[in-house]
Amino acid sequence: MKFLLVFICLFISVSCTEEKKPKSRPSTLKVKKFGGEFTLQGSQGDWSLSSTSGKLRVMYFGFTTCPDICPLALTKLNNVLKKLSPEKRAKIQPVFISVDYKRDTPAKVQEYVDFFGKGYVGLTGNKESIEKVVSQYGAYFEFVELKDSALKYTVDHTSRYYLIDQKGNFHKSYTEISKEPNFIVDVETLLKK
Amino acid sequence: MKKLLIMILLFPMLASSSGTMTESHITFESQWIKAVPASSKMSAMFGKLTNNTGKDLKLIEVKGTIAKNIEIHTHKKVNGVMKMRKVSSLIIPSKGSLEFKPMHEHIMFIGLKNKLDKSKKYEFTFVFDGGVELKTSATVKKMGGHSHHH
Repeated sequence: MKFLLVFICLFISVSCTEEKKPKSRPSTLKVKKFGGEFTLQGSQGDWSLSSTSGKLRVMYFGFTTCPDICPLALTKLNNVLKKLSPEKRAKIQPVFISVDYKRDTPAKVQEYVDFFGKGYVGLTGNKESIEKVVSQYGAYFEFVELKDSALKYTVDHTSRYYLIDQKGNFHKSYTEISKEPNFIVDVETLLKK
Repeated sequence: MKKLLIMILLFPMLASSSGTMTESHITFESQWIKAVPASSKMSAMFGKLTNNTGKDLKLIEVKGTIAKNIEIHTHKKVNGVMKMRKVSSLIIPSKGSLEFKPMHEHIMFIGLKNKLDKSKKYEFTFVFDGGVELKTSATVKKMGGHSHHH
């Protein structure tokens, strides 16, 4: 009798658990793989991710008229990279991509990143190429009209750092890198490879 | 005669100090202007605006000659997306303060008239609803730096 009761209880428990489980994914669902090769415009002409193969790439999407998010992000990145030895720092290529293809030029973006640190690459491109790379890395941006502002428009955007390994494979993205130790731990780990 | 002379000398000082009475009740501290690349025509100002008066204050305008346009902006993070918007006014509660800081409210400069000069003190007037004004100034520093102008 006792065994029967236990069995009934177990059966009810399993039934309930089954009901709570989300529907399983259809077998045809493809999980999008982020990252990959891209070519944009730098101050010296075309710039492809593969041109810096062998280095770790830290990539950020923003725009040069961004009042605080992008400057803060680049300042933080610079502060974090400064903590590395010169040998390790030389193996990392920071890349800033301006999604504001309407207002920014490659020269302007390069001048902008030079203001924050040495050896940064500043890129932008046309609408198609920017939208493509943003989609590739799962980022987001949107032009938003500001009717009552002299700015005329602003760019809403995600604020993330994308870590790309020496072979060009997207490793991981981070919203915070200065307080969150995972970023630098991951950088150190990838540098050992 | 000597007393009269002292009175004459003291009068402008007394008049001046009474003129700053309002300002002592409203302060803008730890203010700084974000240094930008030479060709950049945009910048922003940050600092702590404190209202020690007995009533709420509504900031409606910031005047200055640094840029063609000076606007009050706010910044919000919605579902991981950074959204900057212009606002027509901001309330600084009585006996409270509002901190203009990166990723939050800021005073936006659009169309800088000249390259920002780190040795210069830029003058501003904060205009509040009801005609109250606060005259203040700020200097330029690089984001992430340590020096503040007081």
